[in-house]
Amino acid sequence: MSSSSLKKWLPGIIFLSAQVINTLYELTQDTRTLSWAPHTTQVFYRIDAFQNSITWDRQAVEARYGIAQTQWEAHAPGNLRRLVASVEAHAPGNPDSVRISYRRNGAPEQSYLWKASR
Amino acid sequence: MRHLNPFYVTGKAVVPELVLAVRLLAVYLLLTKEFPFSGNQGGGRFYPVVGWLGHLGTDEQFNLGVKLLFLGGIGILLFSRFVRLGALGVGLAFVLGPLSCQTCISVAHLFTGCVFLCTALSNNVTGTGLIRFQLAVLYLGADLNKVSDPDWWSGASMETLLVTKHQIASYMHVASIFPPGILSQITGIGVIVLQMAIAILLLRRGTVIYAMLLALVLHLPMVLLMQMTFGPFLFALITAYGSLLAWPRHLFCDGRLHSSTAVKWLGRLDFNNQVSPCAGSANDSPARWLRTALYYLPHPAILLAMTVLTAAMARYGKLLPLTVLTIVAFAMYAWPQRKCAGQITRPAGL
Repeated sequence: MSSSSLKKWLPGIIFLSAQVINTLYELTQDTRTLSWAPHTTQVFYRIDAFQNSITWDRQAVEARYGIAQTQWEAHAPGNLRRLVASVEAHAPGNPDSVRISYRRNGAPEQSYLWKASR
Repeated sequence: MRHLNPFYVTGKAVVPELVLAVRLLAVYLLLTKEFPFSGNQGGGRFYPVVGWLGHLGTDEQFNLGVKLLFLGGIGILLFSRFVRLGALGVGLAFVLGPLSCQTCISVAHLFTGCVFLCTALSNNVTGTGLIRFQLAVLYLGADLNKVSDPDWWSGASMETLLVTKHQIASYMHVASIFPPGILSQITGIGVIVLQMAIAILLLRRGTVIYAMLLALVLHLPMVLLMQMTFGPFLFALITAYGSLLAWPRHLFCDGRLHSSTAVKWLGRLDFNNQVSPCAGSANDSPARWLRTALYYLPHPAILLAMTVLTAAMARYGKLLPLTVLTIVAFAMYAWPQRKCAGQITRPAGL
């Protein structure tokens, strides 16, 4: 391959290499964002938010986190944890705690608890 | 001025195969309303993964900007010679989706965006090579995610997807013949093997047609079982694979087989000097029209008609006829190219 030909290929090679590197990097994480992981993981989840020992209703949870309270997540459980952590880091009106209960590929239920640090 | 004509696909900075692919994909996206932040990809910016994207204007301004980037890009790639610039706009709009909206993450839209971005990075030296390697990276990445997940080897992932989540009756019926979980385990391992095989076959141009065959075996049963096209993913795959086939620069009429009337009409829509005049009989039977449509499938006007038909079938959930159409197109157009695929070092006409 001549140097002029290499120059023509270089931007594309860099673009594709970045995808491979990112996919390998995301394999070491519990989230999937730009990774090539189509329907690789099936996570059935439920999000509950609590304030003064009272559970928020479904509409309040869905409005705050932008997703259904109970649904399937087709990427990774970490995406749910990241979403809740992001919302609670930036949006006003925190609940006291948020619990994500989830089952990954039919495995026994696990949960993640976010607590307000006030 | 002729570059204003979307049917004029030659004379660009990228090969006609790519011009056709991104133009047809753009039309499909418009028809199915699969915009970034629309269709299956959420409603707009929402707690971006990349922090600084949250500081660019208000949500309304940002969402409008992404839509303008998308629609402006489509306008440029359809109606100008700057196909790569338009493809860059559309591709960036799709990638901005998952980066600026945590609830919009979608492999289907990301892959669609990458088809446009690979076109933006292509030229007459790379031909359609970047699209071929993009497909290989897609399957390689998907396979790495599965290989490293024990649930794909045990069958738990397929069992949850097909039985618990989608409750596909036909699959559950067949699975009941086997010991519990065995069919899901076989299917899961089969997907791993298929995806790796496709990625390897895509690395050599000469084996691309066999990669396409395995891709049909992998994707079409999932489309039928799950009754979904995965947003724009299926059509993006079809156009990406289709771009790897040699687009015939000339289509020669056979007066004994083709309809002279149909060829005359196609000639009027021919802006690439692709269609030769037909000196056949005036007998225009339905069989002649059908043979003409099949032979002239690579004509941009017929490809556009097929795109509209595909969008309609996807829109109204007619996925069985869509599957049959895909298989017929592969059998008639792609499979015969298997012996010469390796000889196409650079798309014809360059």
